[in-house]
Amino acid sequence: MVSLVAIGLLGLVICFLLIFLGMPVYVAFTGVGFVGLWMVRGLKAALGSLGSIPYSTACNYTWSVIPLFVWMGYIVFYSNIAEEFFGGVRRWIGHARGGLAYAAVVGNAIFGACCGNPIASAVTFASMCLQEMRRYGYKDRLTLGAVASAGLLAALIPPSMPFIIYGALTETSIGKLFIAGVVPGLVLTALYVITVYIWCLKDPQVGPPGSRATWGERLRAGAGMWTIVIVMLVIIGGIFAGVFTPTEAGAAGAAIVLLISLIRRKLGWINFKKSLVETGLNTGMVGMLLVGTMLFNTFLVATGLSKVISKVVVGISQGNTIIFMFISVIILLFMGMFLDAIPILLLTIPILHPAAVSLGIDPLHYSIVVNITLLLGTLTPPFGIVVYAVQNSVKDVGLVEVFKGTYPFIIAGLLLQVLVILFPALSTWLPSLMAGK
Amino acid sequence: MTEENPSVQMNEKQPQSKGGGFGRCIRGSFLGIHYFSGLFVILMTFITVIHALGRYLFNRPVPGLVEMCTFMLVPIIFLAAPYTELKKGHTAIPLVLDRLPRKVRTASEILMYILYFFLMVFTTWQSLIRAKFIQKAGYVSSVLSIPHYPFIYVVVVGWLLLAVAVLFRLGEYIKSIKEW
Repeated sequence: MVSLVAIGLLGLVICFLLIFLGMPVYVAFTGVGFVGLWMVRGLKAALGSLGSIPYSTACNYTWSVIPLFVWMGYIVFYSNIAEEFFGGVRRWIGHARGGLAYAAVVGNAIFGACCGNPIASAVTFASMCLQEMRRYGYKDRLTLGAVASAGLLAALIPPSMPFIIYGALTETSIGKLFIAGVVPGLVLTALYVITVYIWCLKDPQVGPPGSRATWGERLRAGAGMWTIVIVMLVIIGGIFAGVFTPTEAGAAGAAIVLLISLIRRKLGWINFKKSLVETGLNTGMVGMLLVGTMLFNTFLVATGLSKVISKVVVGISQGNTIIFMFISVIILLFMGMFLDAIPILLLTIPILHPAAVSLGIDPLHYSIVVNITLLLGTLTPPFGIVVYAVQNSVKDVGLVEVFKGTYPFIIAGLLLQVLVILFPALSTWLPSLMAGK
Repeated sequence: MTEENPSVQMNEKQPQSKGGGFGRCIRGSFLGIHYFSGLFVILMTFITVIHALGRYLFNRPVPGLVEMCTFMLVPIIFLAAPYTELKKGHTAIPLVLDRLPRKVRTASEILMYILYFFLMVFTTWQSLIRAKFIQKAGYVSSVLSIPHYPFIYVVVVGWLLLAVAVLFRLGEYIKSIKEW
């Protein structure tokens, strides 16, 4: 008689095999989840789950944040607001050595307030920055390394897709998670700036100084930057002050960006339609992933494998919270080498989060540790999904060159990870000041 | 901005129909349905803004907003998923697949898509049974008494369209065998 845990393990192996053979991730989760449930609970229960889980998963108010923030991000993308913003930042700090790389990092951090997706953010800046930075003699390795890595800031600074999913899965307040990401996001921005500075100090040819803009040019450019600043105030300020729920902040952000883009004639009919199509593609993809993972997780819970894995991880850490978090980081970084962040989140959080909470770790603290790790995983080979996306958007730079460009920034990210693990206040202090907490 | 999902690029070697009459018809219809799902995103945005403004300015929030948004998620997800499949937008990580010889790769893809198709048919069937059950039971939402069953039928339609999209892509793979 095969034990239930063995069936769970077998299901996990088959699922990964199907994924690596090219089956869409949600299909592998749905299919293996269904067959697994059939084996564990019988055909009737499995069929019942197949019929009921998709609807019950989709019909969850928490997910309503997703399409709203995704749409807002695409309106910003198609209105070229990010380009205007980068132009503004460039005029203010582009004249320093490595200044355009600083502008890309800082621009990404602030653009993160409009876009919760590291891929979208990195791709937006890659296509925008590369030619400009080449014109000033920047090496592609620095440009694309900085841009790809800075994409992570979009997912740390609210709104953030991983935080939405994390919050929904663990019933942690998404608003608090958003605010918890602000300080680590700012620290990471500072670490990236320091990384660029050190890199340029060691190799001055990698990022030569750009032309100095006049004060008139700077002030004029500043006028084009206010759209993103308003959105940032509405979303971060609104959630922090307790004025908006995350869903309301998403809707308000999308409406404001749409209104400003229309008034300033920045968004034509074709681009408006494109923003809707892309929003649908993204929401359809994430939604089906949620459905598939729910079914697969039901199977894993039924086999008891989730509990076993959780017990093993807690056992290895011997109840020490810091060791537990470092083990989590190692597991998630390893998975991040082969899988995208969202499937890992959906697969591991129902297992790791309860264990973390049982050890007395603050859910906000743990969520930041998990998300930083997953985001770093999007930069690491062989499947650094953000690096693939950036390389694909510029075409004429090799994948290896982009990967090499991200290494110094990955070290900065790991440094942030250590800081966040050792100093929980980095992630818990700001949410503790929130109104109506 | 199809760069959004790098799986799309990683699968670039996969066949893509140049679009005969039938292909164009399918893509056009699915795009239309995709836009229809987008209308719910717009509706959700504005109804939520009206709710927030109503609450702060007139002390009159939109009643049952949570229910409305929850129900709107169903078409947003399930009517967008079929076109996402046609655009190869669902996350796929063909790390092993890309390293296989072309013939083995295509054979593997065809096998995967046959399994995918049957799973979609099966899920459609089960969702239909569930929808009939919910319709018969007469479940409604608690604030606005919106019946659940029309939305479960949307799920059924979504799965069915996904099955059609998968069949369409399977056809493309099979056609690509001729190029061997």
